[in-house]
Amino acid sequence: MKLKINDVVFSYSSLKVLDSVCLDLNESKFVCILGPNGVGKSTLVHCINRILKPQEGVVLLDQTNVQDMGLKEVARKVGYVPQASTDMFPLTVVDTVLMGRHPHSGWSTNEADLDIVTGILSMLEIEDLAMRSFDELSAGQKQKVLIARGLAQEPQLLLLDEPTSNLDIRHQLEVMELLGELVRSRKLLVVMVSHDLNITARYADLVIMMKGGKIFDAGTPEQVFTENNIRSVYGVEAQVVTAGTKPYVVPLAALKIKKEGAVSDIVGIEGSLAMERLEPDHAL
Amino acid sequence: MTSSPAPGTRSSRISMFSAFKGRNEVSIKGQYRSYLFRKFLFMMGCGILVVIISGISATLGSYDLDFLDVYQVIFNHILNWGEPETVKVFVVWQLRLPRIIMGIVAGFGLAIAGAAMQGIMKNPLADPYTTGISAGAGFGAAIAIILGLGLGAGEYAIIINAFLFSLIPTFIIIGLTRFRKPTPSMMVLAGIATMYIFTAMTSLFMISADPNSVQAVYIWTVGTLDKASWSSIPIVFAVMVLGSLFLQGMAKNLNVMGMGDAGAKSLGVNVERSRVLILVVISLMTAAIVSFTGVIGFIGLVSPHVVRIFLGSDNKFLLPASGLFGAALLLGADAVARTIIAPTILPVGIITAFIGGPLFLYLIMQRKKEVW
Repeated sequence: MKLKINDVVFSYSSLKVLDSVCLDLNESKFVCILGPNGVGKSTLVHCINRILKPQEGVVLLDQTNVQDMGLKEVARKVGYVPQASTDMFPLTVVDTVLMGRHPHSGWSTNEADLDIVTGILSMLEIEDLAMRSFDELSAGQKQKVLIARGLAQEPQLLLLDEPTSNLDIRHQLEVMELLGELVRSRKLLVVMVSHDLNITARYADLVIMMKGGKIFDAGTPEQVFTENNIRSVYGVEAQVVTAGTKPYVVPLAALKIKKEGAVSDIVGIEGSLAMERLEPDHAL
Repeated sequence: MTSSPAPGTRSSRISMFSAFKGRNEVSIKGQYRSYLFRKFLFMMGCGILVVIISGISATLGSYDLDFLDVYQVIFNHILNWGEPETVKVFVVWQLRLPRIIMGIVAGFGLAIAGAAMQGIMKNPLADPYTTGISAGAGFGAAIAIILGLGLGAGEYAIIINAFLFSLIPTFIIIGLTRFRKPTPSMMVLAGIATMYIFTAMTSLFMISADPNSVQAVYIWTVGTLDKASWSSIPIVFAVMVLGSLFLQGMAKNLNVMGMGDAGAKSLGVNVERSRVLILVVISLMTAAIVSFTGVIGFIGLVSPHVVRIFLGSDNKFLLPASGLFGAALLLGADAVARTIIAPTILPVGIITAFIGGPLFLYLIMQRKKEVW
């Protein structure tokens, strides 16, 4: 799956959330998008799977503009795991995961769909939840079920919006490990929005750090997680140490923001370097 | 990754992803099948209940007939079609059956429409009248009854007026979708707004109307099966069958839409279009029923909730089962309405509210969850 994002601009009425975002991902990779709240991470993800239509620019999946594809066609290629899901009338776990087969199947559910779903439940080790009602599950279990639903779409690109936000540390590691394995064994391209710097640093192949609707920096965790970047993007004084082979961010203090945008005065890496690292041929 | 991962590791589990035939998987499928089977059994039970209540209902009245007589008369009459009608045949076929069939059709239609409305609104309080259909129909009927204004003559003026006016709130909502996204809250609020407008206009006419007309309007707004006749059944039946088939076809979309708009779009469902389409079909079905029976409440609200307790919320099963349960409930309520202070026949809407209200309170008390 090749994903190319060209100069995407998206505004909610007068508020510009994405400002000329460019991204080029050519191979299966574990990509994490980071950045403070409201920086446009989720909006970018929604532009990729056609939930939102950017005002300018295009998103290309294997050279086809997603806006020219039908919703079902996109759903067959791009799986999506939302942040959280509440259902007023909850279904069982099996039925919830079977929804992931919706873009592939017709009116009825066939044996093959059920095979795929049970296979995924086994893989995620949540078979015992199969007949439970979705709303009776713990936050972590719900998250796993939603991941299972995303996988049931049998996508080539899997988008996840903070999938580990509700999980305890063990489940966080499990999910990240699983996503990493999916990238390698099934050649999936995984794009995940995350808030956890250190978990991301451990597992991501490519980290994209966003600020003010733009890609501020991108590269390997080692390249992106620098004290300067964290100060500029998050307004946080931090120390970056190396744990094993990966960087580990120790937050020290929140910097005082005098007025809107003042943090940006503390200059980190410029966007140009980020773009250079995002070139498809650039070794990561 | 190595080509042969160690057993039990996550990589080995992933490699089994599509071809896994383990014990657990078989047991999941077994459990799922028996779960589906239970749903079929419940639906069959509801179907049988409809047949039984229909039979009992046909025995009620001043002419004595027993349960078996009723079905014998029906079968004989169908087998010997065209033969002169005996008194028994006349009582069953002309006096009692139209009412029963209208009860089945209206109960089924209102309940399936209620289930679908709760689905698109993602709101357990929704019913077929949520978007203002009942208020529109009430106003249409009121101007036909009070002012004698309407398309068609006599009884038909009321029916046609009620039908046309009941669709106005839906048209208003569709018009609003040009400016606003058709979200559930927008639809509900627009429905409440049009409901107030129509209710106010109806009240205005009723204040200045003569007492007989006011009573007629009032009875109409409570809902009754009294006016059921063979001539009115085909049109309601046809609308109900087509509408139900359409809603059944949208059942999977409804399931997916329950998980939120973004989630549903990411699974390939055009949420806005589906929601408006389903609303239009619900409105047509409800309008067709209401224009012949008046506003029968509670069936469309209560039936889906009762069915959810037994079947869960999968719309593929919830819709038809709600329909069957609604038919049984309306028939039962009508049987009570005809017998409780016989020979006076109460409007069935009063009984559905009397049965539905306490039943609903009981169910709410039984459940710990917000919905079931």
